[in-house]
Amino acid sequence: MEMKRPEIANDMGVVRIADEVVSTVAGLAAIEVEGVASMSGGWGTDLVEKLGKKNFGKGIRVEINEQETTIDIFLSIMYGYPIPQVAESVQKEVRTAVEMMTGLHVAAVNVHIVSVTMAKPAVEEAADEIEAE
Amino acid sequence: MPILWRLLLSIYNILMILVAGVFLAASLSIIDLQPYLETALNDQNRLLTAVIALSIIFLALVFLIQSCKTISIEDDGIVVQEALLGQVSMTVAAIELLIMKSVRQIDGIKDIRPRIRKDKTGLTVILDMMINPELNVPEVTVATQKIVKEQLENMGGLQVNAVKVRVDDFKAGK
Repeated sequence: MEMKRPEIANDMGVVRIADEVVSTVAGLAAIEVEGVASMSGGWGTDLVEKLGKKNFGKGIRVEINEQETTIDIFLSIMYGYPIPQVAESVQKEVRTAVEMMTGLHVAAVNVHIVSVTMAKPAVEEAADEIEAE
Repeated sequence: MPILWRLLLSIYNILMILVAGVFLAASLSIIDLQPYLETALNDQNRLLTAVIALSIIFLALVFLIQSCKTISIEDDGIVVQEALLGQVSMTVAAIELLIMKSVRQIDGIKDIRPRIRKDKTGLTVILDMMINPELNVPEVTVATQKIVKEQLENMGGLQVNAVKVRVDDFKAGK
């Protein structure tokens, strides 16, 4: 059974928000949290991204029904950061960003840690920054 | 799997090996099964044979269900915390990576293969390791157990019941 998408109605018409928009907002909010290394979208999405198409909504699954929104986030954490605290920050940031930008009510943000990666050493990070400049 | 089930599984396996061995010997004409089958299926022993057959079928079904349960736990991941904001879970692969990265801090460990078992009260970590022969085995294993438990509890927020270490082999050099 297909779920009915929420609509924001006003004098000029109706606004419908696509799942992809919510995914992008959630993805951008999650990646900003300290301790999050990357989003995990599976090998297919990663391959497409390597070919040049940036996908900010990767690793995000959104379920929207009339009343509320549930977001599942699949991510990789940097080694050395406490996972419960990082996950809680992700939940708070994502919920705030999605509710503020879309007006949807977020019922739950489920965080799934799928990998742990080593943080880049400071020297390597500085070299990357110089290279980028 | 609890110790009782492991014991039953071992008995079941030995029984299956014996049955296969008997049929192999019969197929090679080393033994003649006909008199034994006639004895087992006569009116006097028919009931006992049926009970044994039913027990074997029951055990096989129990082991099948047990093995399916383990798969479903691993697929779902392990829940770290559940709050109003939502659920936080870690995949088994992520926990194994966390263990491997924690163990890197200890000198002398050449190779490590972690396995995770989950039950209602928490995790049991099983580590198969290869270490430098110049090092003291009890010291290295205790340090490993300590660091793995600390990292999983402090960094991962997971409840660790036990960290079991098995030194499989030794390897010298860097």
